[in-house]
Amino acid sequence: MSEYNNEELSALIDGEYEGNNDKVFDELIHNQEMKETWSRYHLIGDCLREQLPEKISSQVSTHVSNTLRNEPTVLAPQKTKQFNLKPLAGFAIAASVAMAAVFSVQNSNDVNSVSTAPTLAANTSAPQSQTFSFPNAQVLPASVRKSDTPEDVANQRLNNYLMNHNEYRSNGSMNGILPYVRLVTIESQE
Amino acid sequence: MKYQALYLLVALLVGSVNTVYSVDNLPEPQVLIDEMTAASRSLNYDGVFVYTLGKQIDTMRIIHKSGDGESYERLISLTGHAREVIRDKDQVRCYFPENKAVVVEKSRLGKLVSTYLPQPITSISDYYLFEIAGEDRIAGLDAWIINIRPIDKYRYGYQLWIDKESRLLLKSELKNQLGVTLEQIMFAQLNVLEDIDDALLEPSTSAEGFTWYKNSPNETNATNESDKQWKVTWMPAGFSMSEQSKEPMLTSRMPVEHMVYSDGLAMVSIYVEKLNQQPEIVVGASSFGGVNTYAIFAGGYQITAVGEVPKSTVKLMADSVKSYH
Repeated sequence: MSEYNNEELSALIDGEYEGNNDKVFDELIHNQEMKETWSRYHLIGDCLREQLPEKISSQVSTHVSNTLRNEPTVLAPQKTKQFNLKPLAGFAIAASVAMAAVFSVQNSNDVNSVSTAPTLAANTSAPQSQTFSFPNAQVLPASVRKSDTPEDVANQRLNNYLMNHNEYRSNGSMNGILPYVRLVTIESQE
Repeated sequence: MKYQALYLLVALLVGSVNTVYSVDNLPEPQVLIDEMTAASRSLNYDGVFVYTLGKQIDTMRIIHKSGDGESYERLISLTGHAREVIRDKDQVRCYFPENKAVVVEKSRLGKLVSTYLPQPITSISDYYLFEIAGEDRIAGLDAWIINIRPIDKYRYGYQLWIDKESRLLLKSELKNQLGVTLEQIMFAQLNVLEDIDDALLEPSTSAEGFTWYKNSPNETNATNESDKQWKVTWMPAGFSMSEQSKEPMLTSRMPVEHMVYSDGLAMVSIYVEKLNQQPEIVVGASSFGGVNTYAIFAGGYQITAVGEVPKSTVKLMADSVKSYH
């Protein structure tokens, strides 16, 4: 039997486990019952967040462990190609506000102009040697996260808005690049 | 004439004759701002500036090149990660070496509003008072100081230092009603140049092995015609809606309604997003230096106001959002 109860497992998934993560994972790899509970909890989580995959295979865990047999690593949920923005306390809106504010003296006659967001031209001037994929991204990368707590989601939503707002700020601004100062700064941790 | 003589007399008496100016020599603040805008657009310059936000302080280098009526810019972080942003008339590329990523966006320079015309400024002056507050020396250059004071408590004020010779902005502070500086930028060094070598506008990284991201908003989520229409029913005097769009965003499954309101200087964005379930956390009020945000959740939608305006303004505007058909 496992020495870790379901509550601890749940805490682990939420990133709130107080004990030694490595030890739990060691146990998890070998304990079938724990594995089933683990995948069940993740499924519940995905369901709550409405991130269910199209088909849910009960064989996933078996398949995964077969793959991982050659590569014993920590079982942490991986999110590829999705950068989550940490709330940037160092939001350099300083420059964007201070400078763009004045620079972007707008003509207030432009009211009610409905526009759709622009599409980027298919061929961008990227270096030829580079092959790249173009996933849609409105968020700008700051760090790769491994968990998505409600707080993270709320913060990320807010960050998206802040980013977007600043892009509009640069609209009409002379030193239109200064709103981007926010991206170019150090991020300070909360 | 009489005033001029008086100034001269006073100046001589106090022994400071280096700057003698009559009332005639003081520039018009609005004109000075226009000239500053034009200078930023048309000159070639390379400078290093410091910006502060609360306790945070960072330095950056900016290179600006102007040629054939186009402008090119490069902004490089000198603190922490070597991030940079390069912009030309078509696109903006943001390099994040620590993430091995480059994000490409369409440049919005195309929507530039010409500020040669006094018209835009005069409409703003209904809600802000412009005045020359004095002189100072920044980055070793002599500058005029301009105060931009809002007429009511719903807006922030600014103080600008403009180089007397080139008319470039040397320093800028965003201030609240109490005169407290919320954010500022200040050049430590600024060189106006005859020409800028194209090589200076190349990124410092080869972006080898980087992942490129771009915005292609039209590919995701179709617009839903049955969506509600939204309207902000309260805003400070002089504000009007300057833009409206529906945009997909990464955290949302539906396009987010985005409305921009401005009085010509301050800008507030209102985002209305349909959420499938009650979010556990709605970030209510928060502040990032001079930017305040306020969010509420009502009837299945999250409404968020974001802007360089006082907290009370974003709150009042967000609370005033109503839907109509």
